[in-house]
This record gives sequence, C-alpha cells and structure tokens, in this order.
Amino acid sequence: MKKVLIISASLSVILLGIVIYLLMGVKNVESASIKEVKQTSSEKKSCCAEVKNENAGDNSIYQLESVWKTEAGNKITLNDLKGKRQIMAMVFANCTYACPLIVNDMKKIESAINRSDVNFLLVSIDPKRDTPETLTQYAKNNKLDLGRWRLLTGDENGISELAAVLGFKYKKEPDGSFSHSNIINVLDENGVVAYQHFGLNQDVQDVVEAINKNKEQ
Amino acid sequence: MKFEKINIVLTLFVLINYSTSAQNKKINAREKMAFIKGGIYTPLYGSKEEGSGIKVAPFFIDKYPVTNAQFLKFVEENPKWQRSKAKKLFADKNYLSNWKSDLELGKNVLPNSPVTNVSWFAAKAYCEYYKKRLPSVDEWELVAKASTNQSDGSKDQNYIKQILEWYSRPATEKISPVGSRGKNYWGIYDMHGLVWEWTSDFFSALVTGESRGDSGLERNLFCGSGSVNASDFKNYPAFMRSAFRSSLKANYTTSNLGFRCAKDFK
Repeated sequence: MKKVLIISASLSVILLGIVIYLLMGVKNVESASIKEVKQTSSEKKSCCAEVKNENAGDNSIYQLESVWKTEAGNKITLNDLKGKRQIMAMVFANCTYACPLIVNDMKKIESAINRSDVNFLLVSIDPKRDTPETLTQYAKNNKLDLGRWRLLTGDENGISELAAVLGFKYKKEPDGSFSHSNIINVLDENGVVAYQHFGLNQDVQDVVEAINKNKEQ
Repeated sequence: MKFEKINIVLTLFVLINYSTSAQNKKINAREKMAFIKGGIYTPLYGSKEEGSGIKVAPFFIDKYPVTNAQFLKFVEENPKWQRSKAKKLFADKNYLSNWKSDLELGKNVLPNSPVTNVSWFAAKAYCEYYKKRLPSVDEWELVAKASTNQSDGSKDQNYIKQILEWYSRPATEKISPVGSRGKNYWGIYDMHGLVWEWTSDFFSALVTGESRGDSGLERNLFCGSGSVNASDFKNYPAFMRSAFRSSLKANYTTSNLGFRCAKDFK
C-alpha cells in the first residue's frame, strides 16, 4: 500500500514537472517563431512566394481526380506521383519563347541539386496537339532524362482544375498558342505545393534551397 | 400471386411518377435557361488585331444566379460539398460561412437570394451535377454587355454609368432576391447589380493586381503577353471585372461572389 502511494506521488511530481517544462517550452517556441516570421517576411524576395503548409492531406493537389497520359502513353492520376518530390511546370510543346526557358531553368535545378530522390514533371496545356508521341519527341529534343522526367497530357477540364489550384493563368490565343504565367512549382511527397518560383531566367537558387529545406523537414 | 400483381402495379406507378418528375425537372431546367444565339465579343485584353473579336458559339445560360435554396438542395444531395466536409483545396474557410450550419440557411440568409461564399470548385461541381457547366468569360461578357433593349450596351455611357454606380456602392449585408435587378435584352436577370459571378476560365485574366511579379506585362512573366493590349479604354466596369477575376483563386469564397450555369447548344 505504501509502495503504491510513493509511486503515485512521485509520478504526479514528474507529471507536474513535465507540464511546467512544456508550458515554458511553448512560450519559447512561440516567440522564436514570431521572430522567424518577421525575418522571412522582410527577407522575402519580390519574385517568389513561400506557401504555407497546413493540413497536408487537405491541401494536396493530388486530390484532383483527373486522368492523364504520360509520354509513354500510360494512363495515370496525379496521386500516382505520390512518394517523390516533384519539380513541376505547365507548358506546351509548340511554345517558342517561355517554355524552353522554363525547361532550361528546370534543368539548371536538376544539375544543381544533383540527387535522385526528386523528379521533374511537365504538364501540357495543349491537349489537342501534345500527344504522348509529341511529348516523347519533345523530351528527346530537349535531352530530358526520362528516368526522372515525366511529361503529361490530359483533357481541358483536368488542365483547368490543375491550373486553378496552382494559380497558373493561361489563355488560348486565336492563333492556337497560349498566353500563360511562368511558374516552377515544388511539390512535396504528398502533392502539397511547398514553393513557387515565378518568372523566367532568374536565379534558381531559391528553388534549390526550397527542395533542400523540404528534405530536412 | 396477388402480392406480385400489387408489386408490379406499384413499381409501374413509381416508375411513371419518377419519369414524369424527371421530365418536369428537365423542362424546369430548360425554362430557367435562356438561349443566346452567340455573337462577336471583343475581349478587353488579348485580341491580336485591332477590331477583331472572338466568335462566341450559341449556348444556354441560367436566367437567374443560383440561389441559396437551390444550393442547399445540392449540398443535401452531395454531402461532400457541405460546409464542414469540403476540402480546403477546393473551398477556403469562409465557404458558406454565412449559413447557420451545414444544412440550415439561418435567419439572415434569404432562400431566394443568390448563393455566395462559394468557391470555383463548388460552383463547377454544382453545374456539373445538373449536367451544366460554368459560362466562360467570353460567354458571360457577351451576355453582360447587353442593356435592357440592346444586345450591345457597351457604347451606351448611361448603361456603363449604372454599372459603375453599383461597383462603387459598398456591399450590403443582406443580398436581395434574384430577379430584383431586372432583365436585359436576352431576358437574363441580375447580370449587374446583385453579385459578382464565377466563370469557367477566370484564370485567363492574365493581368494581376499583385506587385509580386506575376503582374505587369513583362514578356518574362507571361508568354505571349507582348500582344496584350486593352481594346476598350472607356469600359471601366470591364477593367474592374478583369482585375477582380485575376485576383481570384479557385478555392476563394467571398460574400458577394456567386454564379450561374450555362450549357452547350447542340
């Protein structure tokens, strides 16, 4: 009986200690995180947006149910991309100015990170012309390593939904080309947008850092 | 034996009833839409040659914006679109926040007023459930440029002034019932003066108000934007709508943004 009393008393003392410790810890963390937020907001570059990562599942773009075809002609859903981080952009094969630059920026990222656990993804916004065959040819012309690059073509509905969740703007012009925004997206293993890089021909170091940061977490 | 007969009669009765009600539903849906024979619409931005317009094919469009009562029925039949169940990717935290609960409108929300606080995904899902779709920007603008008695009121400065007056009034807390803003040339109600409306390709508005870098007309940011020029500098409401659209994201919801559906003409 005595033993039980002693054990329970010591247990409650330990518990109390833990609670006090936690409370103080939380306070510290809070003030630290406020500082961090202040720092990052003042340091934030004008070109890019860090995307908040709350409830991973709820924000995953892999919730989109659209069906796509790979350059090899295989049918996949976005959820099949789960497991590896993806560096992703929306482009079209006939694009003469911006898309080659985007692909070039992505290749720069590829050589800068020099690691095999990140994949690269190009999604076509031109379903009429970009067949799997066209995309395979496009990959060849741009010397893309199909071991880690994947090219997708889908239907207009799927493309518009994906564009909508990424904040990617595009408009088909009467001559069949597209006006579109230039965004390189970093998706985490679960398809949550972890980082977005806007514009062309800029330093891609921010993307490399975002990938590495994502890895550490 | 007797039971079987009764059963068959009952089944037949139910079937007939069902098919007539389905037919009624169809007719109702058709009646609530108006036929737009199409036409030429000159977008504010993006036309490559001066004076050229975009040919809009014939289509149907809802005469009224979708109401709270209609949307309530939709979420009753599609639980995944109820307020507490909708995913953040598809609808932000203000989704249907003006309703009392998942399935109650509450005192401050009129059943016959346009539904607002709905995201693009929710609006799109609603239209698809009824075998319709959201109207495109071009379709919406084609209908919206009609004044009471002309298919094109965009050169009528009085008409433009009326719209601007609405834009400059602060949003009231209670939104009036649908139909309260009168009908235009096509017989479509409330295109201006009640709520803003979602379009299927709102993301085609390429100029954003953000200073962050996705804005401006730099070739770096938008492929093809060298051709972007405004076609009608006097049409301020069109500028405002374009700016509003370009500020939207697909899961955004606001208290004055609703929608109506359209349908292909086949």
